[in-house]
Amino acid sequence: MGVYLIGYTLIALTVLFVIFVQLVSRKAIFKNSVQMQRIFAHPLLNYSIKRIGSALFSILLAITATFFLIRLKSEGTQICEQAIATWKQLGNLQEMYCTSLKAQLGITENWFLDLLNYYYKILPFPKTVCNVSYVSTVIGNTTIYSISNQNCRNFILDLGTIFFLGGGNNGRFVLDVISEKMIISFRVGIIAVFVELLLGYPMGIMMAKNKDGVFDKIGKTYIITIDAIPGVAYYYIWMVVFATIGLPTIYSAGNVLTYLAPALTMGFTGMAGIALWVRRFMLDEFNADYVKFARAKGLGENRIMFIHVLRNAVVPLVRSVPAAILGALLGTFYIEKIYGIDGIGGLLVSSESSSDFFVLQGIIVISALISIISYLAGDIVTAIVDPRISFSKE
Amino acid sequence: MANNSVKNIDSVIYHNVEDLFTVIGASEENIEKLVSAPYSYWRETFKQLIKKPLAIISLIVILLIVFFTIFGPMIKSYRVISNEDGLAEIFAPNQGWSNDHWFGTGGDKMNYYKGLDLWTVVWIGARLSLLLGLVVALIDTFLGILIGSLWGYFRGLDPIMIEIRNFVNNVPSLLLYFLLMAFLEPNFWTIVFLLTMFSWIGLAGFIRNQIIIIRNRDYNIASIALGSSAKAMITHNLLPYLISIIVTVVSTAIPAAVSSEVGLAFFGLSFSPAAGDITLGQVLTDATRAEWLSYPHLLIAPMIVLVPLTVTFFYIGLALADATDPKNHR
Repeated sequence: MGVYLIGYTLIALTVLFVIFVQLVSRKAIFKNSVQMQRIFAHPLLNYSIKRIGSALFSILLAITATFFLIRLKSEGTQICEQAIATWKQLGNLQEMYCTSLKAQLGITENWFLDLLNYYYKILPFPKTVCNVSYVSTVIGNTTIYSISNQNCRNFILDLGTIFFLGGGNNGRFVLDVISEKMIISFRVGIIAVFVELLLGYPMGIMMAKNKDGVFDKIGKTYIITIDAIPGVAYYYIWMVVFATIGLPTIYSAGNVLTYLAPALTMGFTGMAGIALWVRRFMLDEFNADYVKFARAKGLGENRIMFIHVLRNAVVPLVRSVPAAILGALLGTFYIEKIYGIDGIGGLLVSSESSSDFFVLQGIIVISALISIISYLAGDIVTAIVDPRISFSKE
Repeated sequence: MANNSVKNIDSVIYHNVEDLFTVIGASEENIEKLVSAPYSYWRETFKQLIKKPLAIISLIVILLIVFFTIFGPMIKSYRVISNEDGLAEIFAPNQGWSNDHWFGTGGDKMNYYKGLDLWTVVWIGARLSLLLGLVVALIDTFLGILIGSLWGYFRGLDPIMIEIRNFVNNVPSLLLYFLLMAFLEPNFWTIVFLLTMFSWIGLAGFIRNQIIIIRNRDYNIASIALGSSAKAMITHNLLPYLISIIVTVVSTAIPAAVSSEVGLAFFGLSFSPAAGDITLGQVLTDATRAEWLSYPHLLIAPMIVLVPLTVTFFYIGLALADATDPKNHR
């Protein structure tokens, strides 16, 4: 009950807030209050609301398209096969049980209703979801099989129940398994993000600083190589390097040292892209008037570089930082396969091969959510870093 | 310095102007001659390109690779695919480089190329990979330019196209590949379809941005004022401006497509090796199944073609970007 109260209150508050903001920015209420206008009619706020609205539409579109693709791929007959194998004694009742089980899971003949059902599940309303499991009760000589709801939980975002995935995951909630795998991916991915940020920025700065120098040429060669060579080939080249210097190349969850090889591989790849853009934006800023003025004032090159140029050059670059951090949650499918990391990539492959509807659909929902949140976070970070985008309306 | 220029001004002011110049006379023959050669866009591009030693080396490497993809399997010929003419020749696996097998032979843990002559396998694979890259790059470029220029020119298309782009960005492409390959038989055109499906939109977006940048330039506004049709605007005013971008895009799309095929093959979504279609991606994927740490030649064999192929095409693309830009000419 508590979750329901909190959930509905939050939804009501959000709706009211959006209406309030729209009214204030259209000058329907608080027309003369400067303070209110300044806070609630801020362009960034309005922009964010519009973005979230169109983003939700994009998510629904992606879900709808993939929903039908997944349905076309497999019609969920395995559920019945599984049920029939388990309930051999049932005889004629098998069909009935099977249909009711499918209906409970949200897999029926009517795809359109299933789709609406799925929309309801992922819309942010609080709802109680129960795991479906079959229970056998022995009464005298006969065993009675029944479907029962166990392990009920309250969800805001319900992604369904796993049914075919196997590996001890059957019967668990999709959201639980995805978040479990995400943590595994994230542990490696976050090291990679740090590596690429900590190496990419200095590399870009160095390259911009001695443009056309030796370091610039080496850097450019590296960037071209990374861009051109197929990822898989390139990851294996790094794996050979790590194997020769003695880093463990087989991932094991308990040993942090084994995180290093995959993380460094990811980091060294991401570093090239960052360095390329840092270099380009810094060189663009070099011709600006304020740099010439700083030079005319007699400031040292290093001071111009780090205090003046870099601060302006990073403005378009910080947008990608939240995306990188949140992207670490999803991991890199290729690297996870190469190093045997049991993260989201592995889940994707195994859910595809076992055609588990809800896991596939869940991964799509989660990755779409992540890409939208990171886009919004990028906007907000840019607004914070760039003093030209201010929170007061002039 | 200051004194000097003052003196010059003085000399202009106070002396007869004719003292400052020498009359050399006019020659009737030279009047009719053009001193500089007539400007040709493609000749100038070529001149710029051959100025770069790295570009020439890249071109030579590409020509070598193309030569070997055509003639490589004939130079050292072993049968690697079983068909009606005969069975594949299988040798002792895990052999290193030798006179008989220039790239060694396949490892015994490899699924498809166990004991086969890797020289033949790799060059036959490069044939299909290169063809695939070429076809995908051409289709990509065609779609990208067509849709991108329409998208840039007609603003009304924006909502639809942005929705498509969001879809491609939001859904992991690997997942869609998996879902689509469940319905499609792996053959040449389905792989082409799979590879083009997600790459044209990025290209179209790129072309659209370029079109938007130049659309409101003065010469285009003048054209609109004179009543040019949309078709004439795109083909006569906008596309010629984009020619350098287009050339670059084609040559970087080829290595990109070859790389994507490697990615597909790594998850088993490419051609089925059992049917006898060999690509570089499959050879590489199969090599990673074997003990490549003890027998490094297994991994080196596909890489020795794959890495130069992609890097040189990519570099040529970058060099062409500079060379085709009219600002760098003359």
